[in-house]
Amino acid sequence: MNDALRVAGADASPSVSVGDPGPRGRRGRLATAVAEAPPWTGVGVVLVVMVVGLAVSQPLFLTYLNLNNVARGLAIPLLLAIGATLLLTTGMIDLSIGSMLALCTMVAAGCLVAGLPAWVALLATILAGGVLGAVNGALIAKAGLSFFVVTLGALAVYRSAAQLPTEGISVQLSDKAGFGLFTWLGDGEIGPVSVPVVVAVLTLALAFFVMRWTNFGRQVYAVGGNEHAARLSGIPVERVRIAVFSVNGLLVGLAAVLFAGRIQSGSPLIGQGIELEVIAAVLLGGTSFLGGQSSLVGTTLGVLFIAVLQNALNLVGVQALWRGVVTGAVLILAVWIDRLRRGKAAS
Amino acid sequence: MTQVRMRGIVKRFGGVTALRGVDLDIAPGEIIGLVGENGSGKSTLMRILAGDETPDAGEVVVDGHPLPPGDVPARLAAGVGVVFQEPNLCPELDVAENLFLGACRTSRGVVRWGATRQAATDVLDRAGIPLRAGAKVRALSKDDRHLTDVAHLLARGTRVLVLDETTASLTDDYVRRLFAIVRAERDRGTSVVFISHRLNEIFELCDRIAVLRDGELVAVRTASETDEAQIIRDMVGRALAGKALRLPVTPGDVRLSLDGVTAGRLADPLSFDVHAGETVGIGGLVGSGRSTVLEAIFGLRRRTGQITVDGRRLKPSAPRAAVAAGLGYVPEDRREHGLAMDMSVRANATFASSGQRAWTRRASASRDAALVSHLRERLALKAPDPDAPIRTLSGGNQQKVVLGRWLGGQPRALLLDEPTRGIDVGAKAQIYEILQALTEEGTAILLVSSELEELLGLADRTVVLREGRVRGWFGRDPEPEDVAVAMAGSAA
Repeated sequence: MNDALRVAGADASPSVSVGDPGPRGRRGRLATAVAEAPPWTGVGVVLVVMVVGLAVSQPLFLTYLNLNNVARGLAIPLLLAIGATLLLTTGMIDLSIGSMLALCTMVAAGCLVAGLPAWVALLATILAGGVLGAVNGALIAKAGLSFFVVTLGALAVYRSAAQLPTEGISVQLSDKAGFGLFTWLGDGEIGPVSVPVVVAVLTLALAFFVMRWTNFGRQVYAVGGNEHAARLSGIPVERVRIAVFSVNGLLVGLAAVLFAGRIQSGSPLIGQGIELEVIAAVLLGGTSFLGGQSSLVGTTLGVLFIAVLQNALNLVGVQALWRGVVTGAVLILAVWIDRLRRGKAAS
Repeated sequence: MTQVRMRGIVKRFGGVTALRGVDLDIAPGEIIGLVGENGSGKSTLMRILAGDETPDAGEVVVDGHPLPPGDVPARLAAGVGVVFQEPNLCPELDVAENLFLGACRTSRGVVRWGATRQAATDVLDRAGIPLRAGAKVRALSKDDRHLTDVAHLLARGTRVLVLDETTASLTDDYVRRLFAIVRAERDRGTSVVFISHRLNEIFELCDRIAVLRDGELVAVRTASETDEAQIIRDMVGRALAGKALRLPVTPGDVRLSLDGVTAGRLADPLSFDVHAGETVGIGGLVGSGRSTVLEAIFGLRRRTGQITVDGRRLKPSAPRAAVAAGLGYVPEDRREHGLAMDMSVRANATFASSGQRAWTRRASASRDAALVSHLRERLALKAPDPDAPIRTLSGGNQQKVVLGRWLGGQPRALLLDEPTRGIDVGAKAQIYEILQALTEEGTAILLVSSELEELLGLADRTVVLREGRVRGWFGRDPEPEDVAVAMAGSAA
């Protein structure tokens, strides 16, 4: 159906693979250990090495100021990465999350400028994300379009829609009544911990619970692992797909609340290219491009890895312009490693 | 008393009728064997039973309740379950979860993993399947995955169990285990439909045997009152025995020669020559290694041993070199491997010739047009508009294009895998005529076919493979039963 991207390795050689059962039990111990270890072992090890290296070589790294900065910067990517993990579990990607993020902050701005209470603006922002995600999901699951085409189109549509009301100009919100709620969520602190980090971690815990301990979560795995088997087992495949896109949208809406609070405005320009960083983090955490398998622990490590890597570049004094080179290279490397690992496990 | 009642099932795919009004009843606690040649409609009938395919006419009644066509949940509720040839599992999940896919044991909405594993262990124990409920499916052997697939149906309380060629890729030990499970289920009152090409298995396991031929149910026999020879006669049709479809040609020089070739599941080194004007048939069931032979020769698979064309050694694993040497290959699945369905008739017909031309050579519309009109004439190709997408043609005309792309020059040898699968009788006859003409002109042909009538009618010599080994050579006009027995490997 809509597997323009997914087809890459999943079932590329149905006719030629019949004859070779493969030499079982003949591979080395190390190879077995690599194949059996959780998929996020690699990124975990590299992360620890990097943190130790930075702690030893960069005196600024282990300061409260620096770590708190890293943590704050982490909250929004983590929220987006949770959604992307759920989607990738079903073998899909939503490329429009950056545009969706911008459009949601503009919804918040619209509500507040119209004088609606802060809690209404907050709910409207989150729900707007859910609706935008549901539209993507419905076009993919019901109309049978490729996720690549739909979300690429949505990327352009949502970005334009965000720019239309103000001709591309940000809306300053710091003076609006009730914006304190947004500011607190996006930039506040509870003791030494910043509020956005608390929001992201609570969401992560909830997502972990849903994926591990509810039948909805397990159906997400089943749909991604083998759509045909899922259908034959009576799982409502289309409904699951739409639900996952909607949840992803809700998470983007929540991230938009934090974002608006942090930058004190609604902006149609934010989030450009953020989908790349988010997908890189998720793949780095060992979630497979092919669906059916994912790890929120791995995703968390992946987001941490990219945040620490960027912090390291900062501390070492590498220009911010190198960010794209590093993130892009990490993305390709992550997928390559996943491939090699799967190749081992498959035999 | 009947558990399953199928009435007047009709199914068409495009112009081809796969099922022509099939009636079948199955009693509770009965194992019924379903046999027939490839393309006779067995799998289609079972997919309709499972709701995976919607029939054009007819009804399916289970336990007295008519089931809406194509409604999978209604099948699940009625306890209908199919084990397909390939296991239908989620490889990244464990055995327990695959058993209860999407419906784990919960209390107040929270999945109880302990209870789910325990329930899975109970099902596995009951069926005598020695698997750990917590094992990842990805880490299981292929055989164990098949058993997991069966257990998944038992876990769901299946009352009508269909095994669609499940034994085709199972080792003997696992066939025994599967039979034990099936018999135990039968004793609990489950109706079982068992599909297999191996007649010894059918006779060992089944109470009754239903034979499908060309989409029609031609016989239902009690297993204890019939024998393999009778069933084979039912399957292939009485009239055919030893009917030649092609006149022999005096063979010329050696065109294609194999010396000690092994590849994939082809375990025995294979050595034989195909002479100019000769047709050599390769017989065997699905999974016997017959397609592997053609794929190895054409360079689609790694192989050992020596292959020569016209006395010159052929480079292994290089289809381009094979084409340059004058080989042509018609793959088994024309939609998947033979044609670009949305491209034009012209483009599909000229793939092979353009593949041999240098990248900088200009494409020539007039040369392409000449090739198409040549095919129209020579193959009686009915393609009113050569620029129309090839999917608009009938299966027979599509197949003529797949074959025709090798006829731009005079091929030295053709490798044909099921050259007439899924095409109508008229187109079949035309393809036989083309093969006759080609052999008269000196082309050597290596032919794989599941249709015994076609294989024996066209081939001058036939080698039969089973499980990757040579099980016999037959000359012209052998007894079809002898060949079928060599293919199915019964004790007889």
